[in-house]
Amino acid sequence: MSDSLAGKYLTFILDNEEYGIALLKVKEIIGMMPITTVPQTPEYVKGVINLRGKVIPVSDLRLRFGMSAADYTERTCIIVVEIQGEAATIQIGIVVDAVSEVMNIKAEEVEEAPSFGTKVETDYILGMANMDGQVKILLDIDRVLTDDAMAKVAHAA
Amino acid sequence: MLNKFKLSTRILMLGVIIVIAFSAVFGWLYPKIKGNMYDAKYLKTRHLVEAAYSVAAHYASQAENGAMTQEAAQQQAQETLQAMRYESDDYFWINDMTPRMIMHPMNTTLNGKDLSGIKDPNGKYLFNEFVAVCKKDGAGFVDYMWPKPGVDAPQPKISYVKLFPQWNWVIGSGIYIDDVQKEFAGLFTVIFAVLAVITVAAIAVSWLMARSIAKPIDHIIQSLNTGSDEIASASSQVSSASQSLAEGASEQAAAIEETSASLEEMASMTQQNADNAAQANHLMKDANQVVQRATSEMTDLTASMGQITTASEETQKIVKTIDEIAFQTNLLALNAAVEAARAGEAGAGFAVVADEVRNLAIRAAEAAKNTSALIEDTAKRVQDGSELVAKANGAFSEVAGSASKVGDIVGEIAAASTEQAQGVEQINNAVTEMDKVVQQNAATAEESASASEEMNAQAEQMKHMVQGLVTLVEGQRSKSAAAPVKRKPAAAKRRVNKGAAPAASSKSVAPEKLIPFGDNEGDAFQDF
Repeated sequence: MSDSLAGKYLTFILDNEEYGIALLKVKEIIGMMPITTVPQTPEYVKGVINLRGKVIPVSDLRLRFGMSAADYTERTCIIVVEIQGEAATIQIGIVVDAVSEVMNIKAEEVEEAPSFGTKVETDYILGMANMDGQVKILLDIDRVLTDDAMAKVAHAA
Repeated sequence: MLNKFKLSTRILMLGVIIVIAFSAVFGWLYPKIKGNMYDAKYLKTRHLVEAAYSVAAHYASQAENGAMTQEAAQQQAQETLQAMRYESDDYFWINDMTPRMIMHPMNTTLNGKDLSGIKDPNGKYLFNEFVAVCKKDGAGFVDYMWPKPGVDAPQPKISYVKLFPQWNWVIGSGIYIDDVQKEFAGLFTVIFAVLAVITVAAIAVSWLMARSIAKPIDHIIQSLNTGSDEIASASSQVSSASQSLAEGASEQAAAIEETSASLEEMASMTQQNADNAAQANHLMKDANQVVQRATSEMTDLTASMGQITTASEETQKIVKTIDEIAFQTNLLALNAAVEAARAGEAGAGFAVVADEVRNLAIRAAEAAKNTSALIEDTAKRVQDGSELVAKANGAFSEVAGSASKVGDIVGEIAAASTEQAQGVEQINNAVTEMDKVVQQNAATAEESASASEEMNAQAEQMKHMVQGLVTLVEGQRSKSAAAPVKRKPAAAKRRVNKGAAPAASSKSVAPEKLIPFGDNEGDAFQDF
């Protein structure tokens, strides 16, 4: 398990916590842009954006994780990720507080996720990376975003 | 000498003296009248006896002429004489020189008897006496006691006997002294009665007169005394009052002097106040100008600080832009890294380039942040400075406000000082006036004090005169009016006076009460 977790991760900040997702999953990072709301969607589904002609659904990761909503600052970014949907890869944007950097995480720096202490369900967590005294939570973004509602929206788009 | 007696006594003495004079006159007259009466009686008796003698002489001449014999003549003479009466009871008798009774009309038993042994109850040999007298003087008076017709006991009698030498007869007739005495007594009883009545009346009248004179005089003395006492006390009161008035006036004058001095000080102080106030005003104006200058400079300062702030804000915007650029560059770098990772092997070099770009972006962001921090710092400092300037401005405004208030107050002080100076001036005038009045008061008090002294002297004189009057009415007392009085002599004198004038003892009480020279007021007089 720890072997497969080494690699490049894109770290971002969510509610003052550093999270990381596999860089290969990241398609693009863009700054905050106007979101078109879609009715009858869960709360964490913010809506859709128009990215160079493409319509991409956006969800607020904070709300997804049950954290309190935060105001969007100039550092707030949307990370467009590519995840495996039911049939094909779908692109979904997630709103994060800020993007940090691309990190090359070695295998020995990754540990198993404990079963408590964080606000995120442990299914979503791939592991914990310990870099320079800081703990970054490595997320399984597929599991985070794979959701009936999300998928439907993605298919509809 | 008369001064020893009271007036009433003297008036009484007048009456008494008159009465005494009258009495003296009567007393002097009494023996004279008595003598005259007696003499008249005697004369009458002698005349009667001489008349009887002439009868006998006639008969004797008849006998000598030879018209009748001597015996017949004697007989005739005896009968005639025997029958002669006067005053209804009085008679003549004849006795000879033996003595022997020749004829006694009443005591006929005596006729022819020897009379030498007869004596009256007093032991007088009366007939012998008759003979003796006739022998000596030929006629004369003899007094003896002889029974009176109608009266049992012998009564005093005086007889005149005349010797008829031709026949040796002693012819006599007598009058009973008691008759004379009765007559005399009756007369003098009447006289004495009248005298007594006159005496009583004179005493009473003079007593009434004395009283009527002395009493009003006493009243007058009383009133005068009371009046002069009151005058003396009133004048003493006036004197003391004017003394205290003079003292008060002098005190007042002294106080006015002090007040005047204080007012002078106050006036000079006020003037100083006014000067100081004017100076303060001046200084305030200068301060105001300074403040205004400072305020304008402050305003300039504020303006330039505002400009600094504006410039800072502009710079801040630019820095913000740079920061955004850095951010976007960062994103681009990340995207580039993502693409490079997707490219796999082919994108390895590109990943390095992306990394470097990201570093640059980070450095730019860093620089922007530093600059921003500096600018913020500057802005903060400017803000602080601005606040300080505002505070200073506020302080200056306050100062200006205070200065203007002070200026107003100082102006008021100046005006008040002027008014105060005027007021002090007026007070000064009033005090001067008061001083004049006080001087006048003092002078008037002096005058009234001296006038009351005069009045006191006059009252004392009046007392003296009253005392003279009292002396006149009461009689002289053993002291002088002006000398200090001892009580004992006065009391003794009073007792003497009371003894001397018993009739007017009631009089002596009232005036003595009035006359104070034995009492306090005499001493009180000495205070003056």
